[in-house]
Amino acid sequence: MNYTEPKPPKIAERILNCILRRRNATAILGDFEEIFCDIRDAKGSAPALVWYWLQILKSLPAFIYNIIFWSFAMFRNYIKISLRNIQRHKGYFSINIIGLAIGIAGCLLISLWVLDELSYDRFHTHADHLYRVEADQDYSGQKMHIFSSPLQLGPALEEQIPEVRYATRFTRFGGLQLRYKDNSFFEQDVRSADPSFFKMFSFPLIKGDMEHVLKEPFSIVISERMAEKYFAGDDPMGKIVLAENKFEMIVTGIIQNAPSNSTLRYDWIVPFKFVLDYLHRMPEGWVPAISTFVQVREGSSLASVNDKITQLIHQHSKNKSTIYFLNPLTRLRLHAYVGQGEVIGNVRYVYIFSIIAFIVLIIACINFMNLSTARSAARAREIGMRKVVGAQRSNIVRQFYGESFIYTLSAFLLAVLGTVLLLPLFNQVSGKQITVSILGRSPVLLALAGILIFTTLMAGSYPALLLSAFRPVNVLRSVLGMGGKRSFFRKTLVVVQFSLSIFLIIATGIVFQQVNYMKKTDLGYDKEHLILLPIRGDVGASFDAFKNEVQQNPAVLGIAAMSRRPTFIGDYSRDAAWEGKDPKQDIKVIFTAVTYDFVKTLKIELAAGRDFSPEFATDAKSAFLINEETAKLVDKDLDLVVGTNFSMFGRKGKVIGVMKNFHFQPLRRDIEPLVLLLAPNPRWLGNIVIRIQPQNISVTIASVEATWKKVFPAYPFEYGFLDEDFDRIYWREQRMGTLLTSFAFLAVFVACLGLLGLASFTAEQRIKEIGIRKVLGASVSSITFSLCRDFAKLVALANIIAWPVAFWVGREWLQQFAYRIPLGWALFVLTGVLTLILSLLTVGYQAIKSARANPVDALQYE
Amino acid sequence: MKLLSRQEEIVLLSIWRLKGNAYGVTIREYISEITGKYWSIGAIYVPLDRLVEKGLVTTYLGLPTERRGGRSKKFYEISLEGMKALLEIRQMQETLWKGFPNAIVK
Repeated sequence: MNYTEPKPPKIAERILNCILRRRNATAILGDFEEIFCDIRDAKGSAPALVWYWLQILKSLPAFIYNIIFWSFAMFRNYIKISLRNIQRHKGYFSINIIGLAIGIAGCLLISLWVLDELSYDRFHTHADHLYRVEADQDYSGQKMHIFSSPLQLGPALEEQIPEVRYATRFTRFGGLQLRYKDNSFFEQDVRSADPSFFKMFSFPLIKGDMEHVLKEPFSIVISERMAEKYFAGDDPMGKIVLAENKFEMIVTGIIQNAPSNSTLRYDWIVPFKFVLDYLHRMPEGWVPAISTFVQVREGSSLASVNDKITQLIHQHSKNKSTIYFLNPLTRLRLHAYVGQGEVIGNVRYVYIFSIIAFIVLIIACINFMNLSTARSAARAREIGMRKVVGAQRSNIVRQFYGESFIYTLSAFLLAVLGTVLLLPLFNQVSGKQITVSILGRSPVLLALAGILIFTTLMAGSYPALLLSAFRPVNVLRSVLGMGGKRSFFRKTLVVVQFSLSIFLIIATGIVFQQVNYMKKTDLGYDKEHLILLPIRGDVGASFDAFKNEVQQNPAVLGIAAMSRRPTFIGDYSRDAAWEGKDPKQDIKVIFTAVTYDFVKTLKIELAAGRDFSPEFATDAKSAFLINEETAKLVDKDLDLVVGTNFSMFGRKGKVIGVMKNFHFQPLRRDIEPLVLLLAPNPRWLGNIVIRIQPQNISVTIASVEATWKKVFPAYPFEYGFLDEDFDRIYWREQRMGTLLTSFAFLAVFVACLGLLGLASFTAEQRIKEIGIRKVLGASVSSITFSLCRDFAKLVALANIIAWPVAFWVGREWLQQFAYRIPLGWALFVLTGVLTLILSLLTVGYQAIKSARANPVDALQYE
Repeated sequence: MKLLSRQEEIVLLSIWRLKGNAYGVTIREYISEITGKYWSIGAIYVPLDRLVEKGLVTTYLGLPTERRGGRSKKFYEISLEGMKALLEIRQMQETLWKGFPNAIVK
């Protein structure tokens, strides 16, 4: 029967025991249990339980009051002593707090960045079941990773694979020219999707019904942002937006703007059917063309779904070697990779920045520990007294942790304030849209609490544990040695701190050198004074007319059109074949379509042969220009390559010329084989490139614009400079460089603050020694030198430790670039000298001040 | 010697009345019954502790029982000093009360 008779809950008993805390606790607990049993027998166990808990609740206030009352007395004393300490050493205290605050603020900012990166795409309700169909293509054993899948795949998946709950095609298809009344813009971020899109992703519709918004081919869903841009306060629902100047699209829904931490972005969404049936911008057959997203049912085996997808595609496609598989949506932001595993996701930066955040925090904490231990001797007597009067070691430990907590908390509040103030600047530098409200979110609060606790423990541990262990007798008899172990520990900390700072400086240097190198490298063509006009709609068809008009202007040195941009041509094909090519060999080349004058406009040099020319009638249909890399594949001898039979996309012809290698991709990659052909029809053209004279650029552009408006009145004039485009390629490295600079600066600043505090303290410690030296005839300079030397040694040691680490990390980072700077010793030596000078400047002032002091002041109390 | 408070007086008398069976639970029950008011456990233990401290009450432990979760009862017994203190306060009270009317006549 025992099990049917509940006893008082164990936790409650324990709490009660804790509250009672006196000799007859057992008897009282017994009484409680007896009464509990009485009530249970009389009224049942529920009222008994309630009664028991009520008793505890009732006794709590008195209990807490007691604890607070007694500890408050002690607490007040701790506070008083802390405040007195602060007052007496204002400089020391502010260095400590400011250093810590800067460290925490830096760490906090980076944490926000990292948290934002980690939060990407997690906001979807079904985030764990969402995938993108990706593929590994096989080029004679060489794997090539792509994100695209056949456009027929989406609907087929929903119908034929039971594990797939929903599938949608989601693709950018080059944008649309949109018009509503007088508002006409070319919109890049128009996406097309299937109706399932709204069920899979948590992008809520503000207006419109998810089942119907994309049902009709001529429907369009508008984002809030665009609704504001086009309709400015009007209700867009049911209004007609003109697309490409001919399609009347009805606005069927308004969708919330995509959150900033979404990899999927959109301004407008149109039905995929519209793009397929009316825009004709899609290739035929089952070839990788668009992105397909899938939501699998819970508990499905991913491996089997992958197999089914691959089988399904192989049934329809000629290519049987490509393997398709699902890649989780939540991995796209950080772990996305292309080609042969080149990671384009941000995961590397998440790691790097997490480490930096940690480093900055550690440096700040070390400061705190260092300054605290430096002052330990000064407080040793206080602790000795406390112990003699009856303090336990635990009291002392608590006191120092408490003090550390007070300092940390004030530094922390300062840091949060600073973070809030710096956030706009930080957003600008990092390209994020983090708002102050993020500080209230639970993971951020957790991180904040984590940082606070970590810092308190880190910063407070050494003084708390070390100082509390002093033996009062020794302390009070002043036997406590000042040198030895503790000063060794302090020196170690300084070395660690400076090693970390030096590491950061060198890392910054390497990143900037590399970015600079990539920007300054000769690309093989002249990227200055080139302007780029994107081709929209049917602009390409009238390109020749436009070209003729523009060429009238003497300031225009050249004009051509091409399918991609000169900074990035990334269309691979395995279709190229030439005389003497091993038919079994599966080689991929990059190709792009151009018009006449492309080579001339970009100022690409030819190694052999000639450029495309209208004088040769055969060029338009059967000529190929290749670069040296392709030429190497065809034949070793350049002159023999020209004239070789070459074919691609069913077009048979000859190689007419070989271009010298030029960089048509970011310098992260090697120069790959490239094939140029004349565009078979205007649809292939994507951009117009114009070379203009360096003088009077704005006049020239205005004249080009006038011509554009004349030839293409229906399309707005947009242009960009190629060198800007070029800079944009390296934004990631650039941004990292900027962030690194700020944090390297921060770390050095904090480290120097610490050094300053320590130096002034050492000087104070050695004040008598200095006095005696002076009395005995030492000069100011020799004393200054001896004071500085100690610190210089530490900084030099820190350099020696940091160099190899920085070298190794730098080399690893540079591995990702095909074209990279050599790691020279100059940067390292420069950093070394810089840190030495900085530390000497920091210490020097203090050293000179104490060296010049009158020895009488120092010695009069002896 | 300090005079007993009302609470102490009540608790002490209850212990005397309960004879050998005076421990936390029974004392509380008895007092609640007599006074017709709810007495919390704390309200019993505070005067009890004080009485023990003053030496007016002695304690001894009983056998542990299952109903008490295997804990012993702590029995209270009035000491000689306790008896004296009660007598003293009764004497004083009788002096004070002497001649007080039994009822109020309007």
